[in-house]
Amino acid sequence: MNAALLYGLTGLALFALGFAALFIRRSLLRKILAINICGSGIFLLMISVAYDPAGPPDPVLHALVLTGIVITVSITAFALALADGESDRHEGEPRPPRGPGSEERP
Amino acid sequence: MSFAAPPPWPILLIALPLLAALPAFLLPRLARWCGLATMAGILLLLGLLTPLVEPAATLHYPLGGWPAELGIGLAVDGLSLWLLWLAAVVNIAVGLYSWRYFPPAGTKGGHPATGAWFVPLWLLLWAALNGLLLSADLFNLYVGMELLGLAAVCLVALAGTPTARRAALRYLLFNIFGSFCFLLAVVLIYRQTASLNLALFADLSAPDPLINLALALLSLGLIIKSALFPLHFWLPPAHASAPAPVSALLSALVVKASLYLLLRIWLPVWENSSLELAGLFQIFGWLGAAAVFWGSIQALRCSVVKELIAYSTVAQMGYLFLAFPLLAAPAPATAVYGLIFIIASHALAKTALFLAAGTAQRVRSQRHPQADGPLLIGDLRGLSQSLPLTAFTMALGAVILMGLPPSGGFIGKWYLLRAALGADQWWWLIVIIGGSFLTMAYLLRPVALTFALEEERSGRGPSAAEIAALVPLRLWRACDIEFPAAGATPAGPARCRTADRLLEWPGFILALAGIALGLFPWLLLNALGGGLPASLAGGGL
Repeated sequence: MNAALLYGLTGLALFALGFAALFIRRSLLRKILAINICGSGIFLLMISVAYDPAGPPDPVLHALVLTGIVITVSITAFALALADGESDRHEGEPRPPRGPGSEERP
Repeated sequence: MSFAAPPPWPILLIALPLLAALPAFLLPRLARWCGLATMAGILLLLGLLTPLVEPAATLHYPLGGWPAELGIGLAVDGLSLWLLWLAAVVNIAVGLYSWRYFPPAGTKGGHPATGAWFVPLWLLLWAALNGLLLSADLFNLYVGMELLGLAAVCLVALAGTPTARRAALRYLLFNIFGSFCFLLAVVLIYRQTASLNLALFADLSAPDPLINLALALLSLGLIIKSALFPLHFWLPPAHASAPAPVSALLSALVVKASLYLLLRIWLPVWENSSLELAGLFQIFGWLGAAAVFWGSIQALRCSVVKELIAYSTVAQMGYLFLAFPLLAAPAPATAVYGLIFIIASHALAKTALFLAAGTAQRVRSQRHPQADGPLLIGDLRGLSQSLPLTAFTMALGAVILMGLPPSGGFIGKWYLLRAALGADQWWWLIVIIGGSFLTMAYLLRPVALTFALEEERSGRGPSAAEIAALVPLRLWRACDIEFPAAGATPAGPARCRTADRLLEWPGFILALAGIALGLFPWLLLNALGGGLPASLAGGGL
């Protein structure tokens, strides 16, 4: 068993773990974590696929991993913001969303 | 370096809304003008692109002049052009509607910021949609799906209510999971074929376990995103709690985009490879049939108007999946024709319904400021007197969704029926016809209530003959729009002109377009590149 295969299988296992947790766990924070673990598994798999014993690694996949990480980070941030607003508001008024230009209006 | 490249209309179709979203975000005062400029620009670009697309060919546009193996390409054929036009029509109607729907700054009923957020997000959504419809590269499709999903989730959260935020978060998580399934499949496919171009699906030949796994993951991801039956649970809360223009966009276009990708991937595999797909397509069909029945039954149980319309989306998405087993018909183009007519008519009708529901809710909250909370079916009572055009829009939308004859929905179902008979798969007839009856059952309830008299709280509804007699009268009244002079007394419930033209007409025009689609199907289809994917277009019926 070579290293690339080991990393690839680990990536798949991480993906499966995240998949299971997303559907089993009730807590929102755990679900968001589960999504991140899913993503990390895929990125690990991508890097292991890019590995080439004979030469330099495949740059296409590295570019894809970078794009994927950027997307996942922004999605995680957005999901956390949504989940945060959720936990704020167990009682009381809904907080009005802050928007562009809302401060310049009466 | 030569500049014999094809004209840049495809890339501009993606870049224009994307670039317009930035000033719309930074300068909210200019947001409307950005929206208007994008609408005009996209119509112009589509007008320029349409004559370039040959009926049975794919127009390739290599980005940056890189050849197909190396670069990221865009491709247009009849199918994508048809959907690009559909997306443009729906987006323009929803964009115009949103100007009045989101209250202007400084008025009560909704936070002023909501409207300012809507325009940039809506333009982003449009850019992502155009990107998905045009892209011929798997990773580009993944990025497009994430952009589409993020814009859609932000738009759902615009409603600002706790329910909407919860629904948005759920929508986000399952959407991302669907995208990750897609991404994992992309990696596996790249590992096996060293290509990311969509054209690779035409060359998959030998069954290979990793490719099979990748195809299964692709389908799983796209099925989650198009809310096919057992994986539809995220859709009704998200679509029902979003603001009305957003629900319209999500139901009409966003769920269709992933179905389009599913078709883009499976059609070439099915045409070219030796994989045994009949069983898999039967599974798609059965899940679609289950969606038709389950969605309809849930819709029958709803008392909130927008929930009813959202469950109806689950049911109608089921219809679209029926096309997969019917590809086995001797003329597979029949099933695809059914698919594209149902996609278009459902998009037009569903937008009309959501916009009409939004108008009814807006007018109700203007008249009874204390009544917040979702619009119930009972609240539609008397709508044909207070908002005749909106009530008529709802009725037209219902006619299209039921698939009654002079409508695009009828043409679509007719083609599916023909394909089912041609493929000797009679059991789909039960689903197609039974689904239509169920649609009738859940949509006639709200539509009939709009004709009930407002005063008459308990009592029988109007008979069919009365409704038929009232329709021309209502329509005539709807057309003579009069605005009370400044300082006039507020209009009473009997002659109420509180709804703005921009709140009533976009939905009405879309509903009329859905009917026109049934009256002149070939005119529209042939004018827009034939509507078929390039590989099928040569075959004919």
